[in-house]
Amino acid sequence: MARISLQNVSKSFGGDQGPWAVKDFCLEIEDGELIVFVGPSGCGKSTTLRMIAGLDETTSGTITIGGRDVTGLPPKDRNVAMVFQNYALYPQKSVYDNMAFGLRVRGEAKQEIDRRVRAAAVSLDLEFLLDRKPRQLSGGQMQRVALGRALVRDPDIFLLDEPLSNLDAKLRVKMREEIATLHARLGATMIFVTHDQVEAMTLGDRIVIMRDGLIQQAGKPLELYDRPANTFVAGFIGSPEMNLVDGQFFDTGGRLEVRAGDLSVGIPEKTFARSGQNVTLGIRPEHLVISNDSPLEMTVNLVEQIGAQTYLMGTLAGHRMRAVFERRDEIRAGDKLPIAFPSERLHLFDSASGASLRIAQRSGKIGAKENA
Amino acid sequence: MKSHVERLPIDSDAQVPGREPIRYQPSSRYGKGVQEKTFWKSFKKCSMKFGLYIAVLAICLYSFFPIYWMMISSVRPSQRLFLDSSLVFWPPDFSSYVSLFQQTNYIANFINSVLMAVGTIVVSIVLSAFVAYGATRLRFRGKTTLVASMLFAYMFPPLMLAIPMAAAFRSFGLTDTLWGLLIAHLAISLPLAVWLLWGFFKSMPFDLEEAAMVDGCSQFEAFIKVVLPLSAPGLITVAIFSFLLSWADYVFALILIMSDQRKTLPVALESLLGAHDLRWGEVLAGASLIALPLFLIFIFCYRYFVAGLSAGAVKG
Repeated sequence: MARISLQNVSKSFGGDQGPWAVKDFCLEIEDGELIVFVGPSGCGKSTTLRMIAGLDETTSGTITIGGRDVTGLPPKDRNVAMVFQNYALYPQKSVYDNMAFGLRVRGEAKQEIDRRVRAAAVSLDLEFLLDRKPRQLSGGQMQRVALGRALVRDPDIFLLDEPLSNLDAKLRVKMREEIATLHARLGATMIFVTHDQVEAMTLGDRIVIMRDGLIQQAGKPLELYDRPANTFVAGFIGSPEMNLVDGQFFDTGGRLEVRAGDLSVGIPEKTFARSGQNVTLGIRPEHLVISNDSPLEMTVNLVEQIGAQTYLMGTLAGHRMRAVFERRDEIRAGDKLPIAFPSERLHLFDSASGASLRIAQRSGKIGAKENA
Repeated sequence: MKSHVERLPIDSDAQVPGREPIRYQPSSRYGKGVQEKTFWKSFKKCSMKFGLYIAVLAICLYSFFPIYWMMISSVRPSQRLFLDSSLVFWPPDFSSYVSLFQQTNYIANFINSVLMAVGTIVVSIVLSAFVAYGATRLRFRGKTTLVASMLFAYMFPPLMLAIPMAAAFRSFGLTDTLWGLLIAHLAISLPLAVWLLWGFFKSMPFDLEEAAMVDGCSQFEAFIKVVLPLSAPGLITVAIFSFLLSWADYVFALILIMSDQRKTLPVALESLLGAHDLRWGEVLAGASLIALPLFLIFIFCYRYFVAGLSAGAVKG
């Protein structure tokens, strides 16, 4: 277990002039923390992980693990363990040999190897599969072997590169729980890479959202959900994604409002927005409410019943809008619903940069551009 | 037993108001016309299959008959070689084989051929594995062009390569030596071996050796401990092709080797064909012995042989 520090870490596959796969990545990861790197494909999350593992060299910047500068060290000298997306189990070796390989390479005593492998096998429910070859295992079992291979080494940090993406939905949830349990039990420092925001929200002590090689925001899951730093984070976290409406901000004699075509929404308190500024108004689908007092009317175009909740797609003052309510059986496509925007749930962003113009009353401090 | 047609309810939907009654039509599945159609279809399929078998048989006969004729002729007595043209000869007569061993340096030539083949296999495997691995895993400019240009040598007939080689070897003192011949064989087998293994390593996921490196191996150790054991099929393919190239080589041995003691089997066999004395029985016996290891290899390593050919065909 160890603390990890990344200072201005950058990576370019085309030399010092870029283009940059990762640019000026700064992050402090506490001992025992489970950090999730999340973002769309090509955002640099796996490259960052590979730089921490030593599989990719950094173009610039420093990486320290447990106070030790490992920037120039090969993977074998970093004492990290990694779980790969496609498991990367050695096909010619049995489950036992796969798990024992790392210990044998490091010259551990035979009895110690046996003790550790069997202990890991018991904890991961693999003790009856030790003689099997990887091809004889199911996806979930292979993933557990990959975890076991990391576990036996007792590494400083665990790096998990999209370990659940090859599993079916049901197994993914199960393995997610197992990883969370494992982390709670070991208290190890873990970095988990995923493109699935649900995995990120449920697993991470903190989440780092990346796009185009830059950190967009880093924080606790609910911080990101409640106070997204920009429109990208706002759209990425939360499902269905946040409704974003482009409009203009007006301050007319103390009354603050955003106008977007026929839509006019009152803003409760001061923000960073200036009168006349082009802004993007955001509200999450689950925060819209049906209120008979509201003058705003949403025409329902599509109703999706998913059991506990009802998803609606509709048009509100000419804007496409998603809404999520507790199960409502009576709503049909074509219905008109009076919709209200609770002012404490509104988000405001600058249209040009996408950065948050945070509505003051809901946040402790304003401005959360982690790495702009 | 009642047929399916009889059990079908006729006009079953007639009572449904507002719907056109569906009139019974004989099921096309059981119609006479369709039965005929099906018969012709299956007949066509069968005849196509039959035709294919005949074609394959003809090609096999065309390819194997000379080999069969060589073998059957090698066990005919020399005096009956041109008189008896029966396809089966019994009992076999091994006098040509005995004469071959008595009159030629067969054992020495066989050892030379084995030495050349084993040397070509070992050096080809070792060097091509490292070169191909480097070509797939290291980043450098013009990598693909470099690997593709290795096959450049195959654009020229062996004779065109052998003559300048003979001239070059003279300056290095390698004329009429087995070392020189080994280098010549490697010049042909190495590019092909690199090409084959390049395709093989390219298709192997990087994750495995990366996992090994994270587990504590250096890149070299990961190559030796993880990549090489998994590359056995590719290495066997390389071994087979290297063996074939060396074992069946005639041109390089003819140009580069002069002394009888250093001749390999194909060239030694040629020396039996004198200007006045054509000893066909011994020649055919020798040719059969040369072909024997090839047969054995083909039988036991058929899978890798085909895999190697297809790897060369689709990868790259």
